[in-house]
Amino acid sequence: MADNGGKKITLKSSDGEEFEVPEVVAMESQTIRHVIEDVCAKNSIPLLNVNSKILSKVIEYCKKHVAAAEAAASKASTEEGTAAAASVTKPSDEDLKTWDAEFVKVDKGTLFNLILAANYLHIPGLLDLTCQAAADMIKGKSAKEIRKFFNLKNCISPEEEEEIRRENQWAFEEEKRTRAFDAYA
Amino acid sequence: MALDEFSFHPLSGSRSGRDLDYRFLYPSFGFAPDWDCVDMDCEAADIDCRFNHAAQFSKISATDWEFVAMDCQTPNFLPDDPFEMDVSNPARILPHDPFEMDIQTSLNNAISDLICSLPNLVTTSSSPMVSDESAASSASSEMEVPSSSAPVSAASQIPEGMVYALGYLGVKDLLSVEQVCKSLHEAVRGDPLLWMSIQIDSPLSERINDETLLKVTRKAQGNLRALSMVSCLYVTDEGLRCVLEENPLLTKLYVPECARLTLDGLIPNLKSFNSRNYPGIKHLKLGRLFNISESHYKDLTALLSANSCHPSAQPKPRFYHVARFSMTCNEDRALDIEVCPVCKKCRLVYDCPLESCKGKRDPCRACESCILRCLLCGKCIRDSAYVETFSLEHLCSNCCKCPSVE
Repeated sequence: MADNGGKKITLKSSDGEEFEVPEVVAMESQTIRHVIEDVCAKNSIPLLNVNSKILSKVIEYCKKHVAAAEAAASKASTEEGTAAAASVTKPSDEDLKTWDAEFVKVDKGTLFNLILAANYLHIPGLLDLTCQAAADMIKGKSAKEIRKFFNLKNCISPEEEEEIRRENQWAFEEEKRTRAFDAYA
Repeated sequence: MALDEFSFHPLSGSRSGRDLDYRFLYPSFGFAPDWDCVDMDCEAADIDCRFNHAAQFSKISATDWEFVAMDCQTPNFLPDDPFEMDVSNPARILPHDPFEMDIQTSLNNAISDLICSLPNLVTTSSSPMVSDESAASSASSEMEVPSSSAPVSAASQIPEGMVYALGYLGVKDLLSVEQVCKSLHEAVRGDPLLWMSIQIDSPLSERINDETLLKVTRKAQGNLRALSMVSCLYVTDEGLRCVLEENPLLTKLYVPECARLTLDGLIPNLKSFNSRNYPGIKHLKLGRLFNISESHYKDLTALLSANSCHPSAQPKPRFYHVARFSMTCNEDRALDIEVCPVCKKCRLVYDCPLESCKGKRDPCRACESCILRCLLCGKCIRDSAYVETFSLEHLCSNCCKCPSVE
């Protein structure tokens, strides 16, 4: 690994932009790791499913996490005793978590594209982070609020909708129906 | 101007028996024979109209109601194809492959070669991830799904990445999501792996009973592996027995604070479950509510040790803290109950995170009645000052200074 410390790989986005990154950063993606290790190392890897905007974000994530892992590893090797090492890595864990939280503060479209990219490139940490962020957007919202937030249309027929509502009524008992129709009562 | 295929839920001043049926009279326009439905659960000013095929106007207004078309097009008064050029399909106007380069095939081949050169990306974890990145709306995962249910007719309108996030939602949120639209409904219903691990806590725990518990667990379609019910006050032994019967693959059962469950009901149910040719329950959490006698404890440990995969592994220490009943807390243990070294009763026994307590000959391990602990940090507060909270928990002097109390 130390020998490849300076080796760079070029990643090419779907819209033709090229990103030169250290190999170790690119290998955060299991997909790219397989291409490099199994399919013979290529100097330039085209990623047909990821555009430049998303790819630059993905690379930013990988760079940060590789740097954080290296920092933690070097600190652990210099500190004596696990207690001291544990107390040193804790603040950097917190810093990374804060950085991650800021990283996913993006618009919905970008977030969903990041999810797809993380899945395609097989980067478990990024997939987990982005899926959790998307789930947090959904949590606690009613069906109507979710529809509004993601600008979705309700294409369920009234019969089906009534059936689902009745089935799930027990979970939402306390939520009142809107007064729209009560005006005509 | 007649409305052709105008999708709009009828409104009326009269109520039908089943639901509120409103008829909207607007005599200058004709009515489409079949009404589609719109979002019934919305405010007056807010009802969405959806137009299947271009409405011929952008606004309809009448008596206090104003509907704005969502995606209508401008009125089209010109004839469609006056010169019979078939302009609706412009690709046909130009020659298909004038230089005989067979571009489409060669491009397809190049792309498929590249993708085939990548190894199989099928994941074997239990999360509902799809490896085919072009599957826009398919929500079924790779393993053990009885039927794939990618929506066929409904246009996929949900963001592609959304289905991946469904695996991170709890029960109540999944029930909300399945009411949003057809695609999400099918994504939730069609994926039993979303329901492999079910955790019921507040507020659902206050409402769930035997019948609704069975409804929820049935969504796993027999694939349920872990069930956690915290403070489910209306679930009885019989209800739990039905769940066990329908879910042979269950290995984790957590029932802390479920007041109606009894050990005299639970232990025979578990014995019967574990005696069948299934993996059986390997992890059981009972919490602090049960009054466990020595014979109960013997039965339970015998039951679980027979199924234990790592009988000699040293369990991680158990600490007293706010999230101690969560699903992932101390999930390596077969049974959460132990014999308290101090009072010898069968209870939850906690270790001490305090540095000075760790290396002692007489370890700081006891149930919460024998050693008082801080709710936030779990440290023992035998000699130091503490504060008793409103819910009769204790906070050590360090923690009660923090703003995030309870």
